[in-house]
Amino acid sequence: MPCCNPATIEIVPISVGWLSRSPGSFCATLVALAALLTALAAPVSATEPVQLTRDGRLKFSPVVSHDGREIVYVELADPTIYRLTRLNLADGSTKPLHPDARTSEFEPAFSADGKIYAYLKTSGVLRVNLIIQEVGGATLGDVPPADGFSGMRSPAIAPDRKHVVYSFHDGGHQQLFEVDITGKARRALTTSRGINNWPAYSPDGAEVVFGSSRDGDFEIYRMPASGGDAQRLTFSPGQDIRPRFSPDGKQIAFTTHRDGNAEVYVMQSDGSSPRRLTTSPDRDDYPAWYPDGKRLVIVSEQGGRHDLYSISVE
Amino acid sequence: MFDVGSFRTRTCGTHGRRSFLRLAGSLGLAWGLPLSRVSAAETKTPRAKSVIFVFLWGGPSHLDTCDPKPDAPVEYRGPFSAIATRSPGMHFTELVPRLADRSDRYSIIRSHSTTEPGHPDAGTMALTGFKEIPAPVQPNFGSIIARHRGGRATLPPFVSLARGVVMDSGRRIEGYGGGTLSSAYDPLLVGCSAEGDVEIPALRLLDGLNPLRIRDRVGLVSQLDAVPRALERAGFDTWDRNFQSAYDLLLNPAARQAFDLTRESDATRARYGYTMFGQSSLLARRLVEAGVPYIQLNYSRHPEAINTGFEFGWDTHLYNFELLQDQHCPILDRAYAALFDDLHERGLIDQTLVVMMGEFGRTPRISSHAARDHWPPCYFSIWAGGGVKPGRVIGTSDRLGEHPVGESISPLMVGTTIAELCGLDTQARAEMNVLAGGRVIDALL
Repeated sequence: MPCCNPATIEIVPISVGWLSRSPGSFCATLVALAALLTALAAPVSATEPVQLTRDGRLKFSPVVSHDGREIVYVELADPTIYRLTRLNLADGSTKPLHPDARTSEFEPAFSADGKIYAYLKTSGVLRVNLIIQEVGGATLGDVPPADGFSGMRSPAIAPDRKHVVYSFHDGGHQQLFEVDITGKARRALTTSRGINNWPAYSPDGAEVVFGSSRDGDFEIYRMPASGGDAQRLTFSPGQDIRPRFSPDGKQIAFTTHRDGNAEVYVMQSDGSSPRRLTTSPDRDDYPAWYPDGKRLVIVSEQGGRHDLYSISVE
Repeated sequence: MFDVGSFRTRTCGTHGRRSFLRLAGSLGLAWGLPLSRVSAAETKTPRAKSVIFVFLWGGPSHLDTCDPKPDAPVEYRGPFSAIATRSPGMHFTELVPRLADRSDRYSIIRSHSTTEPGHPDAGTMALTGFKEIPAPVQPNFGSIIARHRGGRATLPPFVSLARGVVMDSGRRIEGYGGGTLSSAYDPLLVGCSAEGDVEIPALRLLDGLNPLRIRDRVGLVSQLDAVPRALERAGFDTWDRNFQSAYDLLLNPAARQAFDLTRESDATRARYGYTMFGQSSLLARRLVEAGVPYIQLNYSRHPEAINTGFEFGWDTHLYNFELLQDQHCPILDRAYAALFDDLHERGLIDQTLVVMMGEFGRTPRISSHAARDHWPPCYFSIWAGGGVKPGRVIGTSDRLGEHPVGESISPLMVGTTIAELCGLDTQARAEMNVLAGGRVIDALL
């Protein structure tokens, strides 16, 4: 288990899910009822961290639904494919987000209201498209890379659902670009040297926080959502990556290697008061906020297995 | 599927897993062949009883792993920090901290060079020491050792761990097997899943057969008689010759145990990591313990880094930095360190040569796609155990990691050194007509 400060969490009630779902089987219903009874029989709180999955497969990039009822993450479903998977937090069940997917899909991002999501999809040999679509609805944008052997990275959707920001190569560097919600009207937000990646909007949509190697190794920066001067927030040796604003915008969770391996930290949104949340000798990575702003879901490698855990930030 | 035994896996999870050894049809398997070809010269005591050749198929970036250039311009050095190793003055990147922490127990070569820029040719070159064209294709290093050793009665002398023959997209890498020594010295192909399920894909031909239900040899023969046409269609002309050995492998408990990862403790399996490469690395160690002379431990069957239908290999034309930091290096670092420590703790390292390398390096200058492409002129390898002196840094690359400084070390020298450590000296190699013109990397010994 990832080591962190003991805290309490709410028991998430079973309710109508975040994404449209197919009717469950009788067995699934029994499992859900059993989970509910177990939850009700348990103390009102549970000690963090809480292990959310147990299959141990390689996992990446979890995101929590806007209502806190589901997590969508990427798993290595077999040795050749990344699959977007939904975890129902009420009963612990999982199912593919796109059951008919036959190519790798990864790095999901959802709008703040849960109505639109974006992800990456392999479309050929070493070729990855950006897909933007309505939840349970139409595809809004299918953006292929401009040339072969390339693809987008790390999409994020603006809170007002007007733009998507992502990372893409540009002349040997990797910049942040913004497109509209249909994937058109591309505009560069950064023009720095090195690799710019993992953009995430502030809750008010005014700023973007991201990782960049512009000053050497990966550090975390913030800048206006429309681009412009970036403010450096971290100054540690090793990778500081995957920043995410808290729901109230006051904190940023991120992954850092400053202690010798991947650990999850939070800091104030101005970069001050960094605080370590995990202390495992193995990898703790991919922090994503719950809507309550009190917890994160992370991918933690424990006993050689990769699973999702919920940890407290308080 | 031809399931030979099923095993209750002891895991640290809340639910058990079932693990199956899946066997089907034998290829040109050399074990059980008479050792009459072994000459007096070949019988010298080898320093390495077994070899694990860790093949990082696709070509790992040397600058982003074991040959960083922190003072190079940003267009070259990449985004990862250099960290100290246990060898004075030697640095790796932060992506392989466990490797760095064990550098005093192996030696590294940073001056490899190959002539082949594409995967098929470079793959054959890396595995045989020679070009794929013109024919004939020379034997895989493992096939040479297989012919030299012959192998125990129930275990093959050359095992290749992957989900099949190493391929580049749909094309087989011709250097995967026996080459001029004949298909009798091809490897036994063994797959291993992230959960540790072991499978021998070629034996799928024998669908429906189950040796555990067969009471005697005659019974198995009668069942096998039902499939000769399938075997002929598949070109397995050596089936008859190796039938006895295949039978032994199928039914011999000791042989089966070598493939049964459920006999390992949870702690040991966890140490390697529940990934395909992690559990395959553990299987490699078990095969060493069982006396298999040569194991080619492939990181992936295909080199492609991200392509539907293929495993995620080291050919990172796309997402080089992301794949290395998110997936490849954490998996490799954990599994290799576990394998290395395990061999040490079991007292096997001195008699086991572990060589880790790809078929080439990757472009020191970051590509226009913010990744790295093929780079044959300069790459690295790591050598441990089996008579290799540890703690040495052999050769160096130039300021930008583009070329070796001074003499480069070729794939043929790699194969020649492996053969030498396995007891095939110059005369023995000449008698076998292999590795012609090869020189031993003396700095390793």
